[in-house]
Amino acid sequence: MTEADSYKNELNSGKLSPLKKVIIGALILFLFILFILDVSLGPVAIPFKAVIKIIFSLGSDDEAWIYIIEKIRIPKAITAVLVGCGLSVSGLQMQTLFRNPLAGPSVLGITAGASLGVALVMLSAGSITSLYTIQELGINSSWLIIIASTIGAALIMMLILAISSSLKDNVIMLIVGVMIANITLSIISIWQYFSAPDQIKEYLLWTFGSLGGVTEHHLYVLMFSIFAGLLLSFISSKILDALLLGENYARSMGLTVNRARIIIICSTSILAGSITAFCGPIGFVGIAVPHLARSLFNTSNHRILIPGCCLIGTALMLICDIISQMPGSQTALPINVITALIGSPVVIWVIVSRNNLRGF
Amino acid sequence: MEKQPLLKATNLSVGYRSGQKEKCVAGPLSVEMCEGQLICLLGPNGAGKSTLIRTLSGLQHALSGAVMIEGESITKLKPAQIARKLSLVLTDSVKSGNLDVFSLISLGRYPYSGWLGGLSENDKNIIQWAVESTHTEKFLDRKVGQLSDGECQKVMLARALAQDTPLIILDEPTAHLDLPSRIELMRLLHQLAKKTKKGILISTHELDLALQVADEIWLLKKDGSLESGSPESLVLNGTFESAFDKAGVLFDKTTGTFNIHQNTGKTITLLGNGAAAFWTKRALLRHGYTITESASAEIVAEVILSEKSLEWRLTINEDTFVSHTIDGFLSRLKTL
Repeated sequence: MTEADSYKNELNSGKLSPLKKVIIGALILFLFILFILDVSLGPVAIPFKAVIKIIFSLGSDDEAWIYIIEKIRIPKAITAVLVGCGLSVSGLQMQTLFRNPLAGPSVLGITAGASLGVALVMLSAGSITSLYTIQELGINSSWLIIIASTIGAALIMMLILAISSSLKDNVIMLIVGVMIANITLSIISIWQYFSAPDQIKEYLLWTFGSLGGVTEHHLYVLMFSIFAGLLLSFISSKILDALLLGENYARSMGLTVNRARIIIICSTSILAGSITAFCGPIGFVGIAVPHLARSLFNTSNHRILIPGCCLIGTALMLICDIISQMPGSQTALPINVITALIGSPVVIWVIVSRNNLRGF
Repeated sequence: MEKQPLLKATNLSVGYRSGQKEKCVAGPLSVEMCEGQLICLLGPNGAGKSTLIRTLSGLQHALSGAVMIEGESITKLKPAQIARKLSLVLTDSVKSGNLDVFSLISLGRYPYSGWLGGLSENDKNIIQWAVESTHTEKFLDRKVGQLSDGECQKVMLARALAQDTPLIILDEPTAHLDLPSRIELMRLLHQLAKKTKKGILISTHELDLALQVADEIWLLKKDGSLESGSPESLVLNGTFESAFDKAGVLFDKTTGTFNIHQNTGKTITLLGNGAAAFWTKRALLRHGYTITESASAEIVAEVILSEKSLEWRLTINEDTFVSHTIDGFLSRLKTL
């Protein structure tokens, strides 16, 4: 191979190499299998053939099965996909914006801010944040909840960003983020303290996270928000690439840094906020998936990483959801427990084997 | 119409503003840079070099005065417009270790590429040129985290070249580099300025390198004033000496270097020439001797090259000591 040829290869490196195309193809196939598996498993045993028939709208003899699949399991699996995409991409954006490999919606208190937003709406309505109260809301109120939690998330993020810009130290910024998360959570705790015991129980259940609470019109609202957030973040992938070099370099390359920050805060807050509003504060996915995506696709180009995060995040959430149902049993574990239990060792393994915590 | 200078500062004061208070670090100063010029900004630590660099490149507002790029005020230009006129190499470290070198250099095309960052044929040609000019072909597929400091600076320079601007500003590009890398980088910048007619401004602590490669030196003094001129004129009129004046540090006009050794008042006559004599001179200076060439001194050292072997002959009041190594010669000298 002559030198000129090797150049051409380099110059085309913005495009996907054949190996990456194979990886993406395999991932998509894997996701499809996971989705069907997720739908076919649950407390009520439904034969696999019947599940396939119902998924492809071929009908079934048992009306109850159709109801369970169409009204409960498919919406839940779709929610898992949305949560997987949304949280991973919001984590990716935060890691790039803060230039910190440990940034993520749950660590820096973004989900806490979203919780506060939800709680405030519920409080003013004289009720408590819970899955069940959210489920009983009409379409207008569910928009209200999403907007409130998005604003809550955005406020916390802007606060952290304002503090971090004057500190310039990643570790201190992380500590500040954790402290702000604690302050936010303690405000919620104070309010819980004055609530009735059964309401507290409902709130606690909400904090365990659940994918099952999003049905019918809530699902459309969530779907719309996630699509909007993902679109916004994909549009800003060039901005994110430039921010990899730090704000001074980004500015010297013609980026209007403040405007870029606002766009990224908006999309991150919409993603993390709307998911937290409906599914509770789901931890871990936002930090872990971007690292997995960087390792697997071996790039820092956001045009590849954003779809990559969506694929891996979806796979992870579907797997977690399958495990949380504890196949073969009647009980289901909270999703939050599973995401951390499955995901943390994976992240440790990736970081240790690739030795690239620095490489974000 | 007369051609506008690439970069021009008039009555510029730089510093920091916090609330109502202004802290002026340097200025007021007026300088000008033309195309094809390599200019080194020198000055002692704390004189405000970085602040001046940041202000000239538009990362920071001036306290007063104006910065013009190709005749247009920097405050009136949008970031995207500035990015097509001026590229930077900063001291900021690139923390994104997973970024590969090729992608990093391609980011230089940011001001020109489409809204998703796709590269056109022209973009690719310019990237290729930038890579070849900086000799970074070898590590294109490496990660930024795997580069040495010297390689990293070359890559950052390649990124700045890919930005294809008439003006490049580098903030202490030679810091943390070993001597060969420093020389290599400076030579590269010198060639670039000559070949491409770009204006290049470097802030640096490398006095001797700056004296050799710079077309012009901007010397920022501790009091915040700036003197500019060719390296030679600044040395000859004493500006250079006074700017770095500190107790025990003397600038030697005849060699263009700083003397770090203090004189002990002993005088020695050194005879002989060639490399051995030069290094013997260095060793004697380190030991605090003043060297003369006339045979008037009490001690006479002679370096003789005979039949492929070196000989050091030390004569003190008729006594002669002969050594075949410089170490033997020096240890004899110490016993005096």
